Amino acid sequence: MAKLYTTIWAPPFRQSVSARLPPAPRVGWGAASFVVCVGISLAAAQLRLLSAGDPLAALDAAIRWGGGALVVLLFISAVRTTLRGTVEPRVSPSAEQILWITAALIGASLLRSPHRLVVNLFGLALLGVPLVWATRRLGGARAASQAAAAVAVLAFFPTHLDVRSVPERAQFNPTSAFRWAVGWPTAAWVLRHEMTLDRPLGATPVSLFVQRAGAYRGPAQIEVTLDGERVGLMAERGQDWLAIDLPTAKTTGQTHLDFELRQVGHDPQLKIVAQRWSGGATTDGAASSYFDGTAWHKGTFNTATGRAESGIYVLQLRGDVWR
Amino acid sequence: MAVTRVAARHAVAGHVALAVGVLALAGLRLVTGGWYAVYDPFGANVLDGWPVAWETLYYVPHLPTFLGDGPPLGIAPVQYRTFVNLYVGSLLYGWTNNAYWSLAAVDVLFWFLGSATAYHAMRRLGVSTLAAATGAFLLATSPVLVSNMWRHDLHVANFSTLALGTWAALVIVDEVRPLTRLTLALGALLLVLSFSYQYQWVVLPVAAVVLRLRARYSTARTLVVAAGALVVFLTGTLVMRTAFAVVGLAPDSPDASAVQQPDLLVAEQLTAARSLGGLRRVLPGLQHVVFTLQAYHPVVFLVGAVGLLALRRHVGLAALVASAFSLAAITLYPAPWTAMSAYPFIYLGAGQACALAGERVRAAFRLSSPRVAIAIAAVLALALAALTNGDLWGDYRFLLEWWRLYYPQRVF
Repeated sequence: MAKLYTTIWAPPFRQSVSARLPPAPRVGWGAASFVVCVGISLAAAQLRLLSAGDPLAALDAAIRWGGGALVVLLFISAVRTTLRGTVEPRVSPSAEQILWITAALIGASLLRSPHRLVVNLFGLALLGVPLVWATRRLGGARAASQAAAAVAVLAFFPTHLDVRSVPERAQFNPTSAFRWAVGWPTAAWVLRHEMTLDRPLGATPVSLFVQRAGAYRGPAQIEVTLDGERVGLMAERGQDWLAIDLPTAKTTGQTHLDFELRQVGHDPQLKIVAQRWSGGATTDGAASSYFDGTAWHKGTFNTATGRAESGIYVLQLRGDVWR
Repeated sequence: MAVTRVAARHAVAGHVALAVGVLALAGLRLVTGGWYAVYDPFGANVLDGWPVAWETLYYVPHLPTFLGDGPPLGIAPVQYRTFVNLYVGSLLYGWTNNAYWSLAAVDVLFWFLGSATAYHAMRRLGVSTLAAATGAFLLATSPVLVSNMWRHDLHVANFSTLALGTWAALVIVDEVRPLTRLTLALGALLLVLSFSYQYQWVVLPVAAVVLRLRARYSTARTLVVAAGALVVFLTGTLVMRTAFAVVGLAPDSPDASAVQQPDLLVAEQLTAARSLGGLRRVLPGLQHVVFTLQAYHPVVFLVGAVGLLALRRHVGLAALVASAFSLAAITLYPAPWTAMSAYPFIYLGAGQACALAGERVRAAFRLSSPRVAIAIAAVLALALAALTNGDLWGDYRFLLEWWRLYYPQRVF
């Protein structure tokens, strides 16, 4: 076999461990790193104290920012040690010692919750062991210990938390720049969406679906016109969906469909979802537009923010349809 | 061995450039559109106002399993196979209180790590620095990683583990002795891979090829090591699942059937194929080859195949084994990312082809500067990357074709 390539420039680890060096030096992260972490920690605490006036919140901010800085600096140290290319066979404490101590600390901290204990210890092993293995053979024992220390801080800090809830996933968010709700602010308001197909529609029935923005139990309904002719009212079909079957007489042979959605029994609370990214629409960014009672405008209108937004309505044609 | 300052500087610059490139590729998609949400707005959702896919529901609700003392949700296969990624995401969430950016950070981090380790795996497989850098660049820009960004189902992190696993397998085969430690190390690697996706089934046969043809173990020893690694992996899996069950983490939610397990899929297919004709129907056919070509982009795949021909025999054979696995996998689960389960080798071949083309042109015109070869390889790599990244300048055709391989596009 030709000369073995060893990752980056380090010699194969079995060579590096065979080197005979004096007693293990300390890992050492340096006073400068310590000062940086403390500085960031104090600054975060001060800022939180000024904004919230809560000492506990300030302490939390100090730990998060100072500890976070420590994790980042330790990882940077590991990378720098690796890039220096001086591979030391062992340092004190070793990466294994750090991981074992961390496991013991996590174990002691999470005895109150057996399932957390198990998933966190397994997680530490599945993350820490491969990372230590990789950094040791890339950058030697010092880099491995620094990486292990970073993982230790990263993994241990959250053990004191008790998180019961997480942010909810939703189909839209009124103030989101990506998916928002559009409605009919006035009775004269009209939403239009155009589609252009690659091949004419066949004689089989197709349906138009729109994604309703949240639950609605009011009196308003959405009336659909296709190419200027009234088709009918949309009805609920599944959770958060409104749909209407399109008459085949109006769709067969068509390659261009121009839908207009109006409200009957006007209610500003009835809304549908819109999305910023329009690249998948058959007519791209020009697909959706709206009439505000006086003029037509390209794009959509976010009723929560009162701003025009480029994007498309989240609707679709279902059936034997080709783009 | 001392390292020259120049080599160190080049290595730092290369890795920093890769990291910046990955951040740019991910960040730009927040402007031009995450592939999935562009393809299927109906499947898109928001988390904290930012775009995700509906499949986030399998992961975000599980963050309290790691961080909360309340009653846990069971670990179903859908979470089990992304346990490592989810664990890292949960740690970041614990620190930042922001689930969206914590999960995004995990995806981006693994995207970078996958691309970087692909470079080192390629170097180990015998290509030049230029070829490996080109191959790593092509992987970083490839649809297998780009396509799932901003979905927040941790698929980017999942898919990048094939490159990580291939690199680790090569290092283990090259450097770990004796046989017992080698077997244990490979088994441990398979176990870690099973907790970050399903690529243990690709890496195991590839490792066997490398053991036999690269490390020159006898066939018998190769089989013993591969079988031993499999036993270690299965034992570890049993221990982990038992531990989860003991502490009340057995899958008991609707998530239990969210994903299909490769072993169950294989058993299902074999049970269904009762005759020779039935067996033939479950074997890969021409349509699966076409599917694979489309997943990579036909030009990228063919360039990759040509480049592989210029490499050593064991590399080509490892690529063939991984490709055979991919083809078999898409008969069971036809998804474009499944079709790309040999991607470290295809992009290795593509990188090699670009670098060779540069060298050939330099030699043909008798130019002395190596920069000519680098420039030509870079132009070719950019051209190949452009074929699958048109969405960055408003050409969404490849994006739509890629996702259409998984399910028909809804017209809107």
